[in-house]
Amino acid sequence: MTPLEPWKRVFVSEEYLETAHGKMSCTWCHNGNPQSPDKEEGHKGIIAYPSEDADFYCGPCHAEEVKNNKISIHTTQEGYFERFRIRAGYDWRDPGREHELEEFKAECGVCHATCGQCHISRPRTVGGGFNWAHEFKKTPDLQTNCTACHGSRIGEEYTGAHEGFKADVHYIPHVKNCEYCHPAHQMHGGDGKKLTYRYDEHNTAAIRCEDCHDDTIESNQYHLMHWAGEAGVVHSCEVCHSQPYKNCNGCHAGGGITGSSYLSFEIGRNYLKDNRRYKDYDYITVRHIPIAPNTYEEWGIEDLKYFEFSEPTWKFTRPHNTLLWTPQTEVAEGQSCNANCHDSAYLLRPEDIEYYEDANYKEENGEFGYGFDDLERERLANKDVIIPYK
Amino acid sequence: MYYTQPIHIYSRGHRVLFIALILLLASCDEYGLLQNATEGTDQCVSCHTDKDLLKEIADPIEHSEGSGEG
Repeated sequence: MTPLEPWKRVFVSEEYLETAHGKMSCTWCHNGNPQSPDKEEGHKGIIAYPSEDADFYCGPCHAEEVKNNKISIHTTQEGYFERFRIRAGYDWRDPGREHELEEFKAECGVCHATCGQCHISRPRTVGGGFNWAHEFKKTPDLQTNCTACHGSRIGEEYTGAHEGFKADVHYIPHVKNCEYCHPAHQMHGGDGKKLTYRYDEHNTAAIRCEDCHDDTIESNQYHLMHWAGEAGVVHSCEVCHSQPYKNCNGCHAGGGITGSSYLSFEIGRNYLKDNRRYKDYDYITVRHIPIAPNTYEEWGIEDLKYFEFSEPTWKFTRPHNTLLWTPQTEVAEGQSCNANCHDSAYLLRPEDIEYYEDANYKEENGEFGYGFDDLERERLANKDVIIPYK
Repeated sequence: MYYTQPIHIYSRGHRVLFIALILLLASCDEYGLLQNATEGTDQCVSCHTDKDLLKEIADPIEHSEGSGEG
């Protein structure tokens, strides 16, 4: 994303001054020393992001939103903590892990949404700055708020940015944006349950395709077979209606695998059979995530002890590039409806589990950082996802 | 015995004063405090609404990484 020019980041419009927030004193939220005509002196003690203390600055008028938002996974970042905990066997917040927690805060922890980073300015991770000359907006902007953070996968898929692929059928610019499926209620803590990650079975506020389209379950033969289950197996909707999506092989944390991201489409077995919201699927679309046993070695964590016994690295995904007709659903004349899928390269097979590193990594760095044992651990981690040959 | 029923230590006069204080604070909030709070805002606004000035003096951005996680 192109950063805002420096002046635009701090420019305040006359229109903003006419709004309810604009009629409040600047110092009420930002402190500083407005009596001084000197720039440096005037900005002494300034609070650039007041909503980092939402209780104090936003709470007096927006008490309910602030209270609910405390358990939002945008706020708690519980997804990071929980996924690490089940792979490592301990929590970054445990006593004696202060160093690791500091590393987390400095790296992953910066992707943390405050009230202001959705409703006033761009997220800090993309340079910040006022989105609408300091005006507050009830609905965050798709481009400069939501996909500023969720851009490299969701944003690009949803808007059809990948060459040769189309935008999601739900994407109608300026009409159906993120809030169409992710309304404020869901974003601000949902149904009041503490969540461990986005696909948590308690995340009942998250909309599923079926919630809007359940009247089409018997509308055609394909739905009867693979949604109603007449064929004996049920697919997640994306198995038929998703285009190829981005898989990641390199992590921001620096350690572990180092490969570039790439587009692919993979179908795996559903490993979420204990999850009440997603247990009905037998086959799901899976996306590779950039985790390896040594991902956090630069933080002093040499190995994730339970790497192969906890979570797959090919994980359930709901790509944001839905179409009615996809390469899976369109078959040539005279071909069976299953011609493109059954026994196709879409299925995640044992040999698809491999070194996830760029070919030039070895040339530049000597040996692969990812050895034979790690490959075996990767295979074990994905044992519930891989589709074996019959 | 006085410390077993602390509510009775407030006389009628205390209660009147207390209510008066609340009313005073409420009126301050509506007319006084807010006005005081906006003092100095002019200084902030005069710079931050001036595009030409900001173009001259606004600090460059430290970093911008582009689109993020997912």
